Amino acid sequence: MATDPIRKSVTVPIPPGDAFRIFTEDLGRWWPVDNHSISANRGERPTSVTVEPREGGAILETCPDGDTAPWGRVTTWQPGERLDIAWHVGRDENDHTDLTIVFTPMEGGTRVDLTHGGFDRLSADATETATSYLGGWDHVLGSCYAQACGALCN
Amino acid sequence: MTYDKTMQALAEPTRRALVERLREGPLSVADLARGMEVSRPAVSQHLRVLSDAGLLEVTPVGTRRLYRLCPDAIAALRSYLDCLWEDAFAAFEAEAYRQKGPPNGD
Repeated sequence: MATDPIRKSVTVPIPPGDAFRIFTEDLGRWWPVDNHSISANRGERPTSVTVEPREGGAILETCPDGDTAPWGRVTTWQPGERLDIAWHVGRDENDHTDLTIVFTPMEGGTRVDLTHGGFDRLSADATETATSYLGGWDHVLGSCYAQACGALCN
Repeated sequence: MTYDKTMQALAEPTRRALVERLREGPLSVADLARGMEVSRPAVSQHLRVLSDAGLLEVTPVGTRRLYRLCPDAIAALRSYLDCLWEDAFAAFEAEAYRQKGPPNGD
């Protein structure tokens, strides 16, 4: 279903506290900004991407011209355990989707489970949301499309 | 799966422009062609691609056909986000390994 939540999991060889810190404090170090950022859409790289470490905190991209562009807002901040974000890249904040990242201790590390949902809630406005989102970050269509094809072929 | 078809349909600038115009509400081919740099037959052709990809619905109204955006376009958004998180998690995993330092033989 097009409105089912997206789920991704990864296991990393570090404790939950470290995994949470890297995910938030260090987001700007690892996020694939070359493909997935507002600056990239203009052929540039963001100066920074930051997460304000608190409930109500903003996730902000700073572009080379100094403009800032919000990606989302933290709605749950439980270090080492859980992070909820109202995700609204390129959209009005009211048209957000819901991101939940849960950090679970495992032997030898941490499992990180991501759920990105809330698409059903967009239904009244779904097309507008989808098309404006894609319009904003449409440079990635090429690479995503190629990857999707690759995945289908494998 | 229609995701790839949707992405392919939206990967063309004229078609994205048509989709943008339809965000305001349903329009006929004549309305859509007005002010576009491409011919009306070309607009019709693009509308067919968008319809085939499940992005548009067509409703006959009298002698005209009205095009409107179809809610299934959400599939394109979801497909994009799926790709984004795939990329992001791979990068996050790499950073976690980098910060952990070199393997200690376990």
